[in-house]
Amino acid sequence: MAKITIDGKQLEVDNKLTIIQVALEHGIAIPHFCWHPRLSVAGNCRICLVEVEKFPKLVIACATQVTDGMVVKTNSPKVVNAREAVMEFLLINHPLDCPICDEAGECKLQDYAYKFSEGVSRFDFEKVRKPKRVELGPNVMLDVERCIMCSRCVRFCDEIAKKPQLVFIQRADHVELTTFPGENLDHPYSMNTIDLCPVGALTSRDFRFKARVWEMSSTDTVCPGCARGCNMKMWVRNNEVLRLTPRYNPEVNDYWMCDYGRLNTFKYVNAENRIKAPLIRKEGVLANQTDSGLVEVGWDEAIAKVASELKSFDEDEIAGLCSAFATNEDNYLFVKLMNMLGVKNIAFLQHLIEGDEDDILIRADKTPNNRGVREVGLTSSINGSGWEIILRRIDEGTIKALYVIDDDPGADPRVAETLARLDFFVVHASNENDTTKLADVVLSSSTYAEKHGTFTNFQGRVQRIRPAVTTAEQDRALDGFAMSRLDKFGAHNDRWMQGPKCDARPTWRILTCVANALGAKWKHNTVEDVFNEIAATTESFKGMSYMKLGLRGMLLKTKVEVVAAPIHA
Amino acid sequence: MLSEQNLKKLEELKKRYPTTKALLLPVLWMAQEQFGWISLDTMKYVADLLNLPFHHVYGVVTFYTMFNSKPIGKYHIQVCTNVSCMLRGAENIRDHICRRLNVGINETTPDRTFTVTEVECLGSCGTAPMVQVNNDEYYDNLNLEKVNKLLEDWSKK
Ligand code: SF4
Ligand code: SF4
Repeated sequence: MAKITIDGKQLEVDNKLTIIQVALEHGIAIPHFCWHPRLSVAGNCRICLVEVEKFPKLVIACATQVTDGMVVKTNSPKVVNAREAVMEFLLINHPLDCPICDEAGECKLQDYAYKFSEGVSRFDFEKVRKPKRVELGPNVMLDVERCIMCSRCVRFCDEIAKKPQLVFIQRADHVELTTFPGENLDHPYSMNTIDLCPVGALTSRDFRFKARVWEMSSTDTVCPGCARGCNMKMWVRNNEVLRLTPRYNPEVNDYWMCDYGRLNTFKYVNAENRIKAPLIRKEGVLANQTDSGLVEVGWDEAIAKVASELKSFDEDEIAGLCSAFATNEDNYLFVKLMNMLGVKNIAFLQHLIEGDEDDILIRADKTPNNRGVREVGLTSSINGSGWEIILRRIDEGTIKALYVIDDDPGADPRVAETLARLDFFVVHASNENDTTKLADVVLSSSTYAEKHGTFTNFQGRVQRIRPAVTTAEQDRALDGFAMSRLDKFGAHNDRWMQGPKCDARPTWRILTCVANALGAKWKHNTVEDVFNEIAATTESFKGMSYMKLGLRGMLLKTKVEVVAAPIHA
Repeated sequence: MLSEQNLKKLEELKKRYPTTKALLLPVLWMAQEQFGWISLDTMKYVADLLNLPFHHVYGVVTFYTMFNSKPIGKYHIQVCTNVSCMLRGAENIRDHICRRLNVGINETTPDRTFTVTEVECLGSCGTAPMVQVNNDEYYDNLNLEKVNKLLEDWSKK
């Protein structure tokens, strides 16, 4: 331990730490470009210079270990001067791109220029010219002029992704970040370099020029791309998801997420094939009929139809399919509904891609809630009979009705053939797929981007998702959504307020409506009510609440593997 | 491929350097002596030889101006234009050489005989102005006549 003083604050700290680590831990901000808590110390940007009493010169806070009796000043006139000098150096060759730069608004260089720079340049020569649009790889674009040579991206590839692909070539003001000629920045985590880049040198090819950062709202949620459940922020403008960025959770994903999750888990939210309202298959050709013979109807009609159909079958003639894509709450209520009907044939599908995993983040299980389904759904009280058995019984004609939530079993053509034999087939789905084509009733369900709920990741960590996109029944302001400046100050006729909304409902709510139409008296007004019921009735969720889950989630109480044997999809 | 002799030398060098990263510089120097310049293929070859990522070698080669990452003429004339040489007419000598050979700075004559580059101080200030040719030949106390003579000699060889 060491006793040190920073800006007059006396602290007792671990003497293995550096000044910047100690300062940050105690809420004292020291500016930094190249330093990052998870990367090795490079010490090349010099902006973290601080004054230490009895040291002849200023020292860089990122590489100076604390020692007993150290007295550090982070804001003395000497330090302020040095920072201003460093900023002046960095800005000498930095292009004046802010008005067209994606990073503007979340740029360290811009922020520090406001905070620490005099805003005057004494440099009246021409700035260096370097390539402005270098396709470093499939997902990352490089603007060499904007690079401040902090080497964060280089170190990330070397140290975290373990795929050394980036390097500086040349020297002095000729320095350029690049890959070896003919090679790409193409590892599965390449886009984290974009978040790490303190300036707009590295930008997302997917998000480039789509929006200014201050026009978007950002919502704390969780990636549904695999069983890891990386914490992330979802950025929305005009009710459209524009990008995802990782959110720090040391227990799950640290500061990172994979490119697959970042690029592939939001596009379907605003896709053309969204199911915009409940659909029912009707005889004859009707004006508003879709290709697959389904007609848009109101919720009441759709739910009444489901209830009356379900009533017309024996409990053994009905089967249910939970979903590892749906939340704990959705699955819990689904099983509860099936229980109420006396249905014993319940299963869920696993979506594994064997081999597609690593020891960084990516998991072979491509669903966010596999663990959760087993925990709240197919627990020992209900022995889920396997999906294969259900399919066989449909083929034999003993199972006649099937209720599927938020999964696409029909994607397998062999299964689709079987499903076509059903007398009654109801599906909750957000997007048109092979399964909805076969359904008699499609209940338009919200995507994970439009609802509250929880997923349980492979570690058994229960984590909250939060809605970022509104459905027809929701209002950003009234329903407590994250709001951007545009949302806050816009009027309803503004261009950025016209984004499409689906008449979708979260699965848990649809299930409540169906149950009540069948005579139950479920009183779940909010999804939090459902979660509280899970916490009260399920041992492993004991003591949990939305409040306690907070931003980091909580581990399940029990860690026993549940034995229901799910079948590979 | 490095020559037999160089590969043998490499084995010797390996003993003297703690890591292959450190060994990279002398190996690149050997390669440049053997091939005259260091192509991308040579970089890959050296990287494989030392078990380093390609791009690391690329970074090192481009960092040091004395590694030639482009083909170079038989005579690589490096004109120092730092203060001492400049004060004693180096710029004149530089321009003269370029004019006579009809090339610009960093260019090579079409017959691949001469390459002219401008370099920083080579530590020969007492005998300025000077040029270095290839890796270690110094020609100092130059004036235009001496330069003409040298160019003629080299052209004949
Ligand atoms: S591209 Fe960005 S992260 Fe990489 S060295 Fe340049 S400024 Fe740093
Ligand atoms: S590792 Fe899994 S959870 Fe994390 S970003 Fe990728 S797909 Fe999403």
